[in-house]
Amino acid sequence: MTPHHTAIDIEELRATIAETLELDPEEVTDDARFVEDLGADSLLALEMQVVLEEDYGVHLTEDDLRRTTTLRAAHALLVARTTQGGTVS
Amino acid sequence: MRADTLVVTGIGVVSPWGNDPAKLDLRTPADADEDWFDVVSELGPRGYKYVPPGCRYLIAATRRALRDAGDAVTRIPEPRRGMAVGTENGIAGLIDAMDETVTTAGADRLSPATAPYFSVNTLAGRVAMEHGIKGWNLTLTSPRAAGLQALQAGSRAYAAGRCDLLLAGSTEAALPSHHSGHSASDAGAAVLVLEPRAAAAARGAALHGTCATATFFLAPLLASGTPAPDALRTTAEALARVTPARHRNIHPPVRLIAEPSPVATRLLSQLRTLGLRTDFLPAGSGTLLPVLHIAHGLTAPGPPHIVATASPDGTCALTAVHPQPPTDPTLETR
Repeated sequence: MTPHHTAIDIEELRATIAETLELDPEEVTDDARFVEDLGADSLLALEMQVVLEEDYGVHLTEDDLRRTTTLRAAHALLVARTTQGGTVS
Repeated sequence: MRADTLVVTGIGVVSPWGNDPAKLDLRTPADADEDWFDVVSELGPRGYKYVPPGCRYLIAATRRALRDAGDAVTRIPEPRRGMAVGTENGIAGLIDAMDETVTTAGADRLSPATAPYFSVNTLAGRVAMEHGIKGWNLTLTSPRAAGLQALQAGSRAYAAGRCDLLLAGSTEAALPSHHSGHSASDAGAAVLVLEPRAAAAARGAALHGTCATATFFLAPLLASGTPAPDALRTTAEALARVTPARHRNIHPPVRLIAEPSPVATRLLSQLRTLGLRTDFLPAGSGTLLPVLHIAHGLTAPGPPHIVATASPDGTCALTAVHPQPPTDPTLETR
């Protein structure tokens, strides 16, 4: 995956998150919660932050990380950041 | 200090020569590259993506050793379990990669999930978490000798009453491929389970034998210089510490496994001067190969022998290996 995407393909994002969390992509459903449902711990959450920043050319804060609990939320956040530089609530 | 003898009741090995300690052909060269290790079959399909090779090997060898030892570990309360591990290059590749990241992409791009392993004692720490080893945990890093030093330090800790079950051994990851010593460097792990003879007998454990280690120092500056009678005496005293008095006329054979160096040459000469038939087996970098020789030696009934090693900076170690006789239900006590 090349950095600085202009559009966020949710399937690419699903594959990236699955690889980071050592899961099969089909396990990362749109609304599966990373911690509660997929077993991610705080270290893996930080790993995901670094991977997403690298792959999508964005800067994510700790607040971003706390709100990014699912693939759907991660996608919305990245769309906002890469298209507007804004935040999502 | 406790005087009872530790006996080896479990042996676990993963190595480019194979994973059966009885079948290791350690005199033939082996490729240090990682293809020989199957993460999924040894460890499982998940949970090891961020675990560096040196830790993967140690986890796998420990699991194998504990399986071989039966129910040894579950009988001992977690605060009474101890572990000593030697490694020289166990995280060398990881540190190189982290240096590369810091100097190119920047420290913000370091992998958080891998970062804890920059500390060399995290390798054994990860194993301790898996098996509830909460008594004590020690990582030694002396070049070449740390595997044997782990056996010695562990035995001392047991003698001092700090544990009732000891895991001791070595783990190494190959040096990075850009390193000139890559292909000859050690890779893999070997772990021994040691427990008091009485405890092993009480639970009917199969015994592999005993081993006793002494370490000493030969000054490199003297290694190729004039004769140094005191240095010869140092080696003789180390031999005496690992050889029971009644065995000293046996002159057990010695395998000296070391990187060629003036210190190794000097130790070889001293051992022969002391009347011991000594083979020199040149080795690359790492602490594993001597421990693999011990593991292999414990699987074959035979007379006592000595595994020796020396680092170019002068650290030397001797381990006397006493394989369990096949028909004798008790080990010789010392």
